Amino acid sequence: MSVANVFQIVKCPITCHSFNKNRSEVAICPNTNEIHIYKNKGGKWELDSVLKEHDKLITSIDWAPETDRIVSCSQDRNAYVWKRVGNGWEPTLVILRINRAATVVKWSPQENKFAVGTGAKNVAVCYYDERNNWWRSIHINKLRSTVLSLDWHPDNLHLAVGTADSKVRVFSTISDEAITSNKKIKSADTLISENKVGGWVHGVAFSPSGNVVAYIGHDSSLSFLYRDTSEVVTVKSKDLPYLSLLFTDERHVITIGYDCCPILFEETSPKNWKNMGKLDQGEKKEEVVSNAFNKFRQMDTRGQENNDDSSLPTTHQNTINDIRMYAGTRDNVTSFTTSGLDGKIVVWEFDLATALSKLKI
Amino acid sequence: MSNTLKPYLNAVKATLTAALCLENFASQLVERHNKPEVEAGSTKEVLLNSVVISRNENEKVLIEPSINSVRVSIKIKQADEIEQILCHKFTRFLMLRAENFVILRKKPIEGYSISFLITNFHTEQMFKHKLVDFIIQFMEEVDKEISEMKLSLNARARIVAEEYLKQFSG
Repeated sequence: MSVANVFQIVKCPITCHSFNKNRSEVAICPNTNEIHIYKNKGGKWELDSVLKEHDKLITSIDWAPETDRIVSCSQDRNAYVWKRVGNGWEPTLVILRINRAATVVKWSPQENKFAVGTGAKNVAVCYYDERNNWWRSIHINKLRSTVLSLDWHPDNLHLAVGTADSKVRVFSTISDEAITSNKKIKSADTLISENKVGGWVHGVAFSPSGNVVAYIGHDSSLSFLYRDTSEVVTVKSKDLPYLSLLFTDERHVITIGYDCCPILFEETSPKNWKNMGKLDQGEKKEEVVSNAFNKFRQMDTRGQENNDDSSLPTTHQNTINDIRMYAGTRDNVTSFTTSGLDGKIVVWEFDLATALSKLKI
Repeated sequence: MSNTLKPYLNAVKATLTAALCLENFASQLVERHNKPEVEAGSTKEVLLNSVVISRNENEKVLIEPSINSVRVSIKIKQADEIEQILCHKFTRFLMLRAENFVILRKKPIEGYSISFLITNFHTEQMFKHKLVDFIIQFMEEVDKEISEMKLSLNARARIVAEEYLKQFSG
C-alpha cells in the first residue's frame, strides 16, 4: 500500500471533498460556510474560485461527474446546485422545505435527482422542475431522527438511509418516469427494509451490484445486509468507530474513521466478512537518542523534560471523515481519496493483491 | 506513582479516547442552533450511557459522552477539612478563568470538584490524544498540588504560632 500523494490543502479541517470527472478540480469545504474550488496546476493545487451563498457550515458537497454540477447543503437549511457559467459558478435554489440543518447530500447515479438528508427527521429527494427553473423536493418522512448518511442504489431508484436513532432503512423513491411524465408526485417513501444497528449510523453504501447494503455503527461495527435473504452479517472491531466506507469491488470494503487510517475488509467466503487490517501501517518514528544536550535544549525551548513529539505515525494526523473513489470503476477501484480534520487530501493507490500480501505479513 | 493510581488513570484514558469520537451535529430541535448535546440533554438518541470510574469513594471521574460533546467531571481527593478548603479555593481559581482554559466548564457537576466540556470544535482544533493527555496530567498533578499546599500551609502555621508564642515565653 503506497500513498501516492498527500496534499495539505488548508490548515483547518476539511468537512467534505469531491473531485470533478477528470480529477483536475476539487471542491472542498474548509469547515466554514464557503466552498473552495481548487485547480490542479502542474501537480499543485491552487485556489480557483470561492462559492459563497450559504451562511452556515457546509455539511456535504457532491460533484456530478457527467453533468458537471455541484450540489452542496448546509446547516443553514438550504441546498444549492451550482452550474458552471463562463469561469464562475452560478447557484440554483433547491426548494427543500425543511426547517433544520441539511446534513448530507448525494447525486443519484444518473444525476437527474439527488437526495438530501436533514436534521428535520426526513430525506428530501429532489428533481428538476423545468417550468419554474428550480429543484423541487419530495420528502421521505418515515424517520425518527437526524439523517447521518445515505447512498443511492445503482438502479437510480432505491435509497439507503442511516439515522442517529441507530436504524438503517432502504426506501424506494421516485421513479424516472414519474419525473418525466410531469404528473404530481404524491409520495416517495415506500419502506423496503428496516434494520437496527448498535449505534449512530455514520456511513451506508450499496455494493457495486446493489445486492448488498453495508453500514457502519458507532459501536465500531460494519454490517452487511443481503438483498436476497435479508440476512445481516456484522463484523465488530477493536478500532475506534468508522465514519465512512467505500466498496472497492463486490468483495472488498475500505472504511475510514477516528483511527486516522483506512481499514480493509474482505468477504473471505460467501457472507463471511473479515477485518484484514490497516492499510496505512504508519512509519515508526526514529527513537531520539536521549542525551543531556537534547534534554536541556528541550527544557529550554519548550519547558518540557521529555521529547514530546505530538504527531501520529499515520498519514492523516486527525480523524478522516470522507472517502471517495478516485480512479477505476465502481466494481474495481484502483485509487481512492480521503480527507480529514487535519486539512489534508490524500490520494491512495490501491492494488488489492499487493495490499493483501502486505497485510498478511 | 502508586500501585492503584496507574490502572485508574489507564481506565480513564481508554474511556476518554473512545468517548472523544465527536462530529459536528446541528440541533434537531432548535432551528439553526448547534450546541453541545450533553448539556442540552433534550435529544435522547444522541446521548450515550455515562461512565463512572472510581478509585475509592473520594476519588472518581464521571464521563458523559454524546454525539458532539463529552463532559468529564472529576472528584478530587479531600481527606480532611483543610484539603476541602484548599480544593475549593484551587478549583474556584481555575473556574473563574475558565475562558482561558478553553475546555474548562465554569461550574462543576453536582457531587464533583471540577468539570470539563470538550466539544467537536475542540477536537477539530486540537490533537485528540493531547486533549486526553492533558486531562490525565491534570488528574496526576492536582493531588500533588493540593498536598503540597497543605504541607506549606501547615509549615507556615507552625512558624506563625511559634513567633506569636515567643513573646509570652521571653
